[in-house]
Amino acid sequence: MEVTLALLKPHVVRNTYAMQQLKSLIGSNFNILAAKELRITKELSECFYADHKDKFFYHRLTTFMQSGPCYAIILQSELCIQKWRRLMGPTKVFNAVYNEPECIRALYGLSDTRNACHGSDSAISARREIAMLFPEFDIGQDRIGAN
Amino acid sequence: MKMLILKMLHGVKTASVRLSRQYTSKAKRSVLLQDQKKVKNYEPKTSDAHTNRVYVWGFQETGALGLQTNVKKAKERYTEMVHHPTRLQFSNNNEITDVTAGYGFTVYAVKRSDGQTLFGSGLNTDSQLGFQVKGNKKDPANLDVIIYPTAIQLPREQGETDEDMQVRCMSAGRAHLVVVTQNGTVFTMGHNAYGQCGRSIIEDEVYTGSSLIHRIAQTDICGAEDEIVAVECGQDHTMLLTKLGRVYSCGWGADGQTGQGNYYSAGQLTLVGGDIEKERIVRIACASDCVLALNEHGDVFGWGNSEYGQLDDSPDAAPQICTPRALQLTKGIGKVKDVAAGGSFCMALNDQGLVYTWGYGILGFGPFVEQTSKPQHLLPPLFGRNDFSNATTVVSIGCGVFHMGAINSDGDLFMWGKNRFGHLGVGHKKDQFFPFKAAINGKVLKVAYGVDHTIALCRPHL
Amino acid sequence: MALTKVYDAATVFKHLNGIINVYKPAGIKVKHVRNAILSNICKGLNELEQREPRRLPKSRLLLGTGTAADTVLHKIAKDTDLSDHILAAGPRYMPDDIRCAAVASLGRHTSGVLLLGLNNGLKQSSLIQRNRPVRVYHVTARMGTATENHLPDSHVTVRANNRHVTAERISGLASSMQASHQRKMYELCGVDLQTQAAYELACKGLLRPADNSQPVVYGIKLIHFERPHFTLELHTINESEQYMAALVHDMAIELRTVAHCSQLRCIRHAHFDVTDSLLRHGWHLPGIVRNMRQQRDVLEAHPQLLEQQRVDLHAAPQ
Repeated sequence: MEVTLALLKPHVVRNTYAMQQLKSLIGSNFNILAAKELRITKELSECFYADHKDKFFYHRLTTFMQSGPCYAIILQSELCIQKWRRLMGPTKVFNAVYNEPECIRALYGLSDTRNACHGSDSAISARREIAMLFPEFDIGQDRIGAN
Repeated sequence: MKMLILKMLHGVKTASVRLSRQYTSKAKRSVLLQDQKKVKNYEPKTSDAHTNRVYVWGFQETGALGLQTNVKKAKERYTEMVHHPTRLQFSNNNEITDVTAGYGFTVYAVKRSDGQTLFGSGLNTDSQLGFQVKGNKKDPANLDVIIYPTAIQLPREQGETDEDMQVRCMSAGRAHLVVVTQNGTVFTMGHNAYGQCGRSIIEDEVYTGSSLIHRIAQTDICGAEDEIVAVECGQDHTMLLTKLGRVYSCGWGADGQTGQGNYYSAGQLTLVGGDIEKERIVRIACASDCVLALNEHGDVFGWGNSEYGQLDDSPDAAPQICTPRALQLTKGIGKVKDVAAGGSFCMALNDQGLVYTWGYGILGFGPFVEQTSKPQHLLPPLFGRNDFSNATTVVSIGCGVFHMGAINSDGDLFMWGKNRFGHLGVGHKKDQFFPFKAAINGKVLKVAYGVDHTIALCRPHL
Repeated sequence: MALTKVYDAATVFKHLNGIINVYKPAGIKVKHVRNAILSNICKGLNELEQREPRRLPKSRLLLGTGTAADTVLHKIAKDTDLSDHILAAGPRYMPDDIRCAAVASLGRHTSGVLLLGLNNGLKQSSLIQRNRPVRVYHVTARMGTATENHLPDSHVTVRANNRHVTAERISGLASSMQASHQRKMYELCGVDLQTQAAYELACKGLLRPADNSQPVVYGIKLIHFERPHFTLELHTINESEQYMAALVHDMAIELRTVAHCSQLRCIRHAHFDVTDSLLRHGWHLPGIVRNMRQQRDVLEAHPQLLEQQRVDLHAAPQ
């Protein structure tokens, strides 16, 4: 089975009700392998979002991630990368609220940056991101290898 | 036998006479005969000491609406959102003078005999409502969520009276609160990871359960000859407006929303330059990351996020503007009286009472989510003008991140936009594609547009 | 066309088609007004020149002896059909001969404009009815006492003080109620609010309800205040006397007092104004004919009264 990384962004972690809802949503859809609250430092966020380095929102995104504790979860299920991304909805919250009003980002996102959560976009990036945020998690023995 | 017949005839005669008379006037007679002295006298309470009342609606789970008084009871009758404007009990017992709403919390400025001037309810995970605990003093449990308005203690210096502590103006951001009191002191509390509280940023500061309320003297910000008249918070930044029309800002600048000419976060309140440097600004508006400002001549300026073409309609427009600039796209709409800026759209009200909207989202022109950088006006009939009230115009506008509102000269509130958690107050969960009246019993004076709730300060009809 | 004097009842009757605007007094029912109007019309018609009794058919069977000397036969041959004579058949015109229907009814306590369609005017009256035009009322409330049915002729149930009620408060409440009722009209006009059509209708302003089941109030305005009375001007559709009386009662409760409705006067129905209304002393044939001509002019000036768009509402000008 696939694994992916779900990262709940700082403003959602501060909203107790949203956290509750998201945890129960995740719990009912995925198998949780590990979960922890963590602070994303400047170095970590720069490394995490290295793909977006040249985008205009890169600085915005990295500073936002540093603004408070995040909640990272390793999810496992059949096709969980796709499944989690579908639950999250479109990246841009202002689009999401009109196009997919029931998705997580439409419900708890505040703006295109404060978009509530992050999910890995592929098995490779999932592996990379998990390694970054969960260095203690033994990824080798995991079933990603089956891919 | 003869006698009997006569008697019978007699009986018939009297009976018929009485019958017809009774038939026509029994009801009337019983009304006339009623002894009105015995009628119960109805004596309603008419001397309501509190001139203002507050209506709240939207998302309730964060406690921002302050409608619940008991957590257990609230769980039993589960209502996640309140679709209809509902009268806030707290406003019946207190004289509320001002309201503001952040993300999941609400703050009220109150006049009270016991000296408390500030109350709040809702999310308090970043101590945006001050230090709130429950239980005994030895073993206090921090409150993450406050379900009913609770006093926020502003730290006083020696000699500061209750009168000094009355709120002059206030505004709430995503997780911070800025209050300016009558004596000109600025109090900030809550999240400061971007410096939005006007103090230097501390790495890894823990905001939960923090009792830190920062105070800044007015003279330290704008000098002795000027004074702060308004404060406006975006989601993560703060702007102060002074009597002389200057704007000071601090907080998150990653979209340029602080207008400081850079994209950094700043914990120091600094004068905003750019095109507004020599202008006398009379109003600033911001709900998220896009800022609009208005000068005394009715010209509009803007800075911050412009990803949806809110500030610039040229083909090579930058998505972020970090220096205030005079807007070209509002040039054609005449003298502007009021402005409002939401998450992905902007609004302006001109001196003829026409409401213009532009940007991305439900702009009020029907069920098409659209993107336009050309301000278009909504027709006056949408705001209550018709054959029966042909002088009605819009007098003030405002918006949250996802919804817009306008108040007309009759004191009616009209709302439209995304109906996030029922925060339009139209009575259902569906989006509203053109301005629609919110059912409020009273004249709306001020509306605080939160991210997923709305608060209206009203004056009752009696 | 020059007007010519007509003395002939049949000609008058032939032209007795159209709408009349009658001032209904308070305290009597519409049915009684209608009966009075009809009997007055008949009375007027019967006083005009009547047609001659019918002639007997020329070729008839011989009766009597059949001889030329039979005088009875001669008499009959010359004469008319006596069974058709007024003295035998009764008056030429009876109330039942005239078809008559009210465009919209008024309650017993209401006075004011009552539109009646006569004969072929019934067509017009039903068209006007189907258009559901706005009616304007002046409703006077008396504060201080509430009655059982909110009208003056029933038992007093509650008394209350009204010193605290001011004109400003009443008009403030009135404007708020007006806005709330205008909001309600969207729900009753039968259009889905989520559609472009709803937006386009909203831009036009006022909408008429889709059916005549629910009352809608378009305008409420305080026009007179003199404690303990106040008078409201109401612009409504589908209203009833009882509804307006209850509205006044509810308003009073909101004003922290009680009231009942002491007077109801309909001052306009669509474009038919109370100033053109036929008062009771004018309920005679010449008056009715004159009034009918007047109303015909009104209908010609406002053809939309007979064919309106489906949902948008045109409030009549003052």
